[in-house]
Amino acid sequence: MRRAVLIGLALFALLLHGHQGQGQSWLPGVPFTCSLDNQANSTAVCRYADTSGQSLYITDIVAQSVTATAGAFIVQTARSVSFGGLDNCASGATAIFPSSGGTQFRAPGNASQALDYRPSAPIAAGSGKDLCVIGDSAGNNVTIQISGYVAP
Amino acid sequence: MKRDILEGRGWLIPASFPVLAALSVFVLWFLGYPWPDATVHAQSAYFGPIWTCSLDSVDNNLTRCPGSIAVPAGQRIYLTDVVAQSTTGLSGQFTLRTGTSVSTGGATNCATATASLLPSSATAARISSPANTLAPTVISLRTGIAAPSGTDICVLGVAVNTTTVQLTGYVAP
Repeated sequence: MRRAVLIGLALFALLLHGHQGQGQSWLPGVPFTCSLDNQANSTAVCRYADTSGQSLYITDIVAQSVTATAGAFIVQTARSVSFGGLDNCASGATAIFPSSGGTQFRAPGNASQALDYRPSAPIAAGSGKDLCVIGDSAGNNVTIQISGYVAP
Repeated sequence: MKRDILEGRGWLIPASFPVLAALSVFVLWFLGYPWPDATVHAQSAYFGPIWTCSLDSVDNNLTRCPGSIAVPAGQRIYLTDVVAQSTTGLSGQFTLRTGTSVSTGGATNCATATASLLPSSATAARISSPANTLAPTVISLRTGIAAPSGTDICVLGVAVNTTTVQLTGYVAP
C-alpha cells in the first residue's frame, strides 16, 4: 500500500515537472491588422467592421510619410456599409485619433523614426464601425499600419 | 503500515517517516521550491517560442531573414518587434515582406508567394531606417502581426543607405 502511494506520488510529481508554464494571453478578442500605403487627402477604409457588429479595438499604429517631410493623417470611423453606412467613411465619419477632429497628427518624414503608438487603453472604433484613414493634403502621403483585436 | 484514524472522521493518516518525507518532498516540489539545480521558468508574455533574426546592410534586393529557430509545420511566425537603422549617415527605408524561399536549384529570398507584412499594403520600402547618427526606428507591437503559414520573413531596403534590422516575435499556430 505504501509503495503504491509513493509510486503514485512520484508519477504525479513527474507529470507536473514536465509541465511547461503557458504564457497568459492578454488579447480579449480576435487579432486584426490593416494597412494603407501612400494615402493622400482622401478617406480610405483600412479595415471594415466585423460582420457580427462587434467593435475594432486599436492597440498599435505605425505610420510614416512617403517623403522626407512629415505627413498629416487622421484615423476615423464611420458606420459600415454592412450596417447601412457608406463606403470609405463617406458619411458620419468620427475622428478617433486624434479624436479632436480638426487637428491632425503627423507621420514623420521617411528620414526619421516611424511613429509607433501603442495606447495603454485600446482605442475603440465602436460597434459596427469601419476604420478609415485620411492622409495629407500637401503631397506628403502617409503609409500606415493599424493592429488590434475584435471584441464586443 | 500503522494507521491512525481520527475518531469520527475515518481519515487515514500514515504515520511512517518515509511516507511523510516523500509527501514533504512532493509538496515542496509542487510549490516550486528552488532546488539548486532547478531551472527557473519565467511566465512569458508571448504565445509561443520566441523567434528572432537579424540582417545587416540590406539593399534593394529582397533578403530572407534567417530565424533563430525552425518553424514547425502548420505554425507561423508572429512579428512583435522591429529595430532598424541605416548603415550610413543618411537614412534609408525598408519594408518587411513574406514568401517562400527555395535555397537549392530555384528562387530564394521570398521569391514565391510574396506578400507584404509591414506595412502590409506597401510593396516599396516605406519605413525609415534613420541615419546612424540618430536613434534607430523601434517598433514594438502589442498585437503581433502574423506571417502566412510556411513562409519566411524577408526585408527589402534601398540601394544606397542600406538597413541593418533586428526582428523579434514568436512562433504559434
